[in-house]
Amino acid sequence: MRRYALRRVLQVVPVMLFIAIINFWLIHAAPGDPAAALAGDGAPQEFIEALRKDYGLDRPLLDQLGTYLGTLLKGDLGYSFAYRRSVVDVIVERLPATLLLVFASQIPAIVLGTLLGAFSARHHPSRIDSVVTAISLSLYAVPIFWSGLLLILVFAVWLRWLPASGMIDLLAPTEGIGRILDIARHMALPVTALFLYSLPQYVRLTRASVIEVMREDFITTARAIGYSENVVFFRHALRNALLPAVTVAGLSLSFVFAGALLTETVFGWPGMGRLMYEGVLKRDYPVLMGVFLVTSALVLIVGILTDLLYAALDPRVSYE
Amino acid sequence: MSVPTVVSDEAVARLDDEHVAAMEGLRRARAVGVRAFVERFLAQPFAVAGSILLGIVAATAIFAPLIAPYDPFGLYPPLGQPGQGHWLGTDPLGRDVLSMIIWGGRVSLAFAFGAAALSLAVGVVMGAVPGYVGGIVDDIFSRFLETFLVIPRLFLIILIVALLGSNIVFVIAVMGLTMWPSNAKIMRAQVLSIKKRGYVQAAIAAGVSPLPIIFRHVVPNGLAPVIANSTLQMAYAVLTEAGLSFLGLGDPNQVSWGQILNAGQSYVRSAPWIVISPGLAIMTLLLGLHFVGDGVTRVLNPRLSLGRE
Amino acid sequence: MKSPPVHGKAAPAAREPRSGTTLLEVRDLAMHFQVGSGWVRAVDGVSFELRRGETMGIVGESGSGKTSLGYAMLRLLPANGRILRGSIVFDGVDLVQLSEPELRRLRWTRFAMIFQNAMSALNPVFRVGDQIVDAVRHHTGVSRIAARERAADLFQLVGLSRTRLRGYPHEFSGGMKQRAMIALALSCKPDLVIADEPTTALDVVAQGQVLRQIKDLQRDLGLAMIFISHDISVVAEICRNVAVMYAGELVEYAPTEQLLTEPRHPYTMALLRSFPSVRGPLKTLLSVPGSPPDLVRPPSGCRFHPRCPFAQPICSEVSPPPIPTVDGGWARCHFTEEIRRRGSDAIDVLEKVG
Repeated sequence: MRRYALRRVLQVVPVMLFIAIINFWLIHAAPGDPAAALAGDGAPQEFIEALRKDYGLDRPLLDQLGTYLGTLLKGDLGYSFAYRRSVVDVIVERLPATLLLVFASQIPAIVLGTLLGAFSARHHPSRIDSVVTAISLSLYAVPIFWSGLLLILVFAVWLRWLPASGMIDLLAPTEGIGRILDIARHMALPVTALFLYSLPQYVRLTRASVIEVMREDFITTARAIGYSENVVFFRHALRNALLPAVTVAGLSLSFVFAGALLTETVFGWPGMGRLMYEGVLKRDYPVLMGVFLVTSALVLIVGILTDLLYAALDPRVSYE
Repeated sequence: MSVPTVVSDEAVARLDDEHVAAMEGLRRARAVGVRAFVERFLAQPFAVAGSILLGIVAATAIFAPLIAPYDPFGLYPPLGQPGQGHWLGTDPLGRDVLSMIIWGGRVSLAFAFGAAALSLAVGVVMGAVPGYVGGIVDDIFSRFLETFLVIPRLFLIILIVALLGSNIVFVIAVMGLTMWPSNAKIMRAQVLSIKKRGYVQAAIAAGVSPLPIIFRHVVPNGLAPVIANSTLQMAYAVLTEAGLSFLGLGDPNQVSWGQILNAGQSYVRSAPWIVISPGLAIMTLLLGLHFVGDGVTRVLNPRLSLGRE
Repeated sequence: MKSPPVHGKAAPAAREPRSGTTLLEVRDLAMHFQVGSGWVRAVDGVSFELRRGETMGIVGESGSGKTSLGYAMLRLLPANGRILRGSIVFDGVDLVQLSEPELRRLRWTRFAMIFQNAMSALNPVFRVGDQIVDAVRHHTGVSRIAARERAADLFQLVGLSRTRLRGYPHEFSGGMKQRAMIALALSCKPDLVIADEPTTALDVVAQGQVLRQIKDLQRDLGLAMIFISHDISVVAEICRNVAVMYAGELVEYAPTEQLLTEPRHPYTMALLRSFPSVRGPLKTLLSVPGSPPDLVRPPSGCRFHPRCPFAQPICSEVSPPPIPTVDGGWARCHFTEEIRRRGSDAIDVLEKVG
C-alpha cells in the first residue's frame, strides 16, 4: 500500500511540470512584452525592468524556463503589483473562504445526492425514477451564475432575508457567535447555489452505479439465499455501488472549483475564485497563473487521496 | 499485432472473402442500425422534448435577422422596463434585450457545434491511433491524457483568453483543443477492445494497411460512446462560453447571453428583468442538449436486452 | 449400435435413497419474460418428478430454456419474467402459490442453487467465509462462532483449506470459487440442489475435480440434484435420469444409460453425436443443422420439425405428446417407435444429413 501511495504522489510532479510549462508558454505567446505581462497592468517601468532582470527575460528561452521552474520550486509564485503582496500571500489569504464554501456545499450534496440516487435506482424503472432523472437533468441545465443571481433576486432583494454579497458585515461583531452567525448568513445563498450545481452529479452517479450493480450475478445469489429485498439492496448492492461513486466524487473537484469561481464572482465572496475574476479585471497575470497552479495542485492532491481511499476500501484493488 | 509472415494464396482468398462478407454484414447492420436508432430515440418522450427545444433555439438563431425586432447593438433608452416596444426591456447601455437574446443564440450554437466538432475530430484521432498502435506510444500518450484530464479546464481557458485575446473563432478553437482529451480517452478504450475482433484481424491478415483499418473498420464501431459524450461536450461548451462572457471575457463584437447577464448583474435590484431572460435562454438550450444527449446514451447503451439466455 | 460418446461409463444406478417419496413435482410449468414488444417463452409447459436423493440431468443447447427452467423452479425470475401457469410442488407445497416471505423461509434451507458463473456469483466485497456465515446465521440464528465452524466444516467437505475462509472471491481460482459455491449451497442443509452448468467455465482438470466432488457429496449426503448442462457427457457422470430440453419443452426423458445407448428423439440423437469422445474412435463431429428456434414465435406442432431429418407433415401440425418408452421414460416424437426399430439406419440418415 505504501508503495502504491508513493507512486501516486510522485505523479504530481509531471502534472505540475506540465502546468508550469503551460504558464510559461502562455506568457511568452501573449502579444507584447512578457515582462510587462508578468508585472501586470499598471506596473511602473522600473518594476518591469527589475522583473526582466530577475526572471532573466533577455536570456534564451530555455534558461528562462529553468529560472522560472526554479522560482516555482522555491514556492515563489511571483509578486502581484495590484495587491502589493506576493501572490502566495494573496492566495493563502483567500483560500479558506473558498474551502468553506466547498465543504459546506459538497457535504450535503454528496449525502443527499447519494440518497436520492440510490432511492431512484431502487425504484427503477418507474415514474418516480423518471421524475428524479428529469429533475437532475434540469438542474444540470441551470447555469450557476444565473441561479446565483436568481437567489439574490428572491432572497436578498424581494424577501430581504439574506445579504446579497460579501462574507461579513462591517458592522457585525468580529468575534464569537456573532461573527459565526454573520458569516453563516452571508454564506447561505452561495452555498445553496453551489449545492444545487453539484447535486445532480452525485444523484446520477449513484443511480447509475446502483442500477449497474443490481444487475450483477451476486445479487441473484443473495436473493436465492433468501435475504429480503431490503437486505439485498442495502447490504449487498450498496456496498458495491458506493465505491465507484466515491472515486468520481473525489475526482470532480475541478468541476466544483469552476462552480466556486462563478459563485464567488456573483456573490462577491472573497475566495480564490473571486481572486481569479479580479485578476482578470486587473489583468494581473501573476495572480491568474498562481491561482491556476494552486487550483490544479489541489485538484491533483484530492484526486490522489481519493484513489488511496478507494484502494483501501475495495478489496479487489491490488497495489502493483 | 503480428501479421502472419507466410500466407498462402488460398488463405488470403478465403480471408478476403470472409473480410468482404464481414464488411457486408457490418454495412447492413449499420444501415439497419441507423433506422433502429432513430426509432428508439424517438420512442423516448424526453429525447423528443429535447429535440424540440433544440429546434426552437436553432430556428430562432438561424432566422435572427428576420425575427429580431431591433438591431442588438442599437441603443435605446437604458434600463427600460419590459413593455410595448421592448418586450424584454433594455439593458444598462440601452440595448434591446429581446433582440440580444435572439441573436445571442448564434454564438452559443457556434460554440456548441464548433468546439464539440473540433474536440470530436481531434479526440477520435488522438485516441484511436495510439490505442491501435499500442506499445510505448500508447503508454506515453495515456500519461499525457491523464495529466491533461486533471487540469481544471475553466481556469485554463480563462487564463488563455485573458492573455491571448477573446476573438470568437480563437476561443472556440481553444475550447475544442482543451476538450478533446475526454473523447480521446473513450475512443482509446473502445479501440483497445475492437482491435481484437474478428473482422479487424481478418483485415490485418489480408494485408490491409493500418490507416484504412483504423478509420474504416475500427473507429466507426467505437464511435457510439464518443458521440454520446459529444452531446455533453456541446452543453459544456455553451455553459463555458456563457460563463466566460459573464466574467467579461467574451468577444466584444458578438452578442452573447452571458454578456447580457454580465451587464445586468449590477442592476438586479433596479432592473431584475435583465437577468431573468438570458438565463432562461441558456437553460432552454442546455435542457435540449442534455435531454437529447441522455436519449442518445440510452439508445446506444447495449444493455437493453433483459432476458437471461 | 456404436458406443456412446462419454467420459467413462454412465453413472450406475444410485443407491436407493432412504425414502423413495416424491420431493419435487413440476406440472406444466410455463415461464416467459418480456423482450421489447414480444414475450420469450423460455419455459413452455414442463413437467417432471424428482424423488428424494434422486439425480436428474437437464441437457440442451444454449437458448433451450434450461437455465431459465432452473431459475424458475426456485422462483428466481428476472424483473420482466412471469410464471404463466403450472405448479412446482416441493414436499407437498406449491411454490407458485407461496408469498414472498414464505418462499424466502424455504430458500436455501430446503433447496439451493449452484450458479453457473461462480466468477460473479459471489459478492466481491465480502470474504467468502463470511458469505457462508451470513447465510447460515440468517436461517438458523446460531452464534457467529458456531456458524464459522460450520463454514470451516463445509470448506473441508469440498476440499478447501480453512484458511481460505478469510479470502475474497477474487483471490480464488475458478475451480476453488466453484467449490466455495458448492459449500455455500450446502450450508443450510437443503434437500434439493440445482446445479446450473457448474463446470462450464472451468478448465478440463478443474472440471473433473469439481464433478467428482459433486458426485461424492450427492452420494454421501443423499441430496436430490438437478444438474443442468449443455454437455451430456458431464451429466452422464452424475445423473440417474436425464431430460432433454428443446425450445422451452422437455422432449425426452429416460434413465441415463437408456438415453445414451438408445435415444428415442431425433434431437437427442443429434445431440449425442455432437460430442467428441477422447477415448472412443474418431468420429465426424455433427453439429445439429439449422439454427436455434425463435422462442417468441416457436415453430408449430413439434418444435424440432424444421431441423428434423425425419419430419413428416403431421410434425408441423400436431405437437407430439410424451410417448412412453422404457423404464418410465418418454419421448415427444410421433415416430419414436419407428426410430427405435430402424436403429442403425436412423443413425445413417443423421450422418448423411449432417
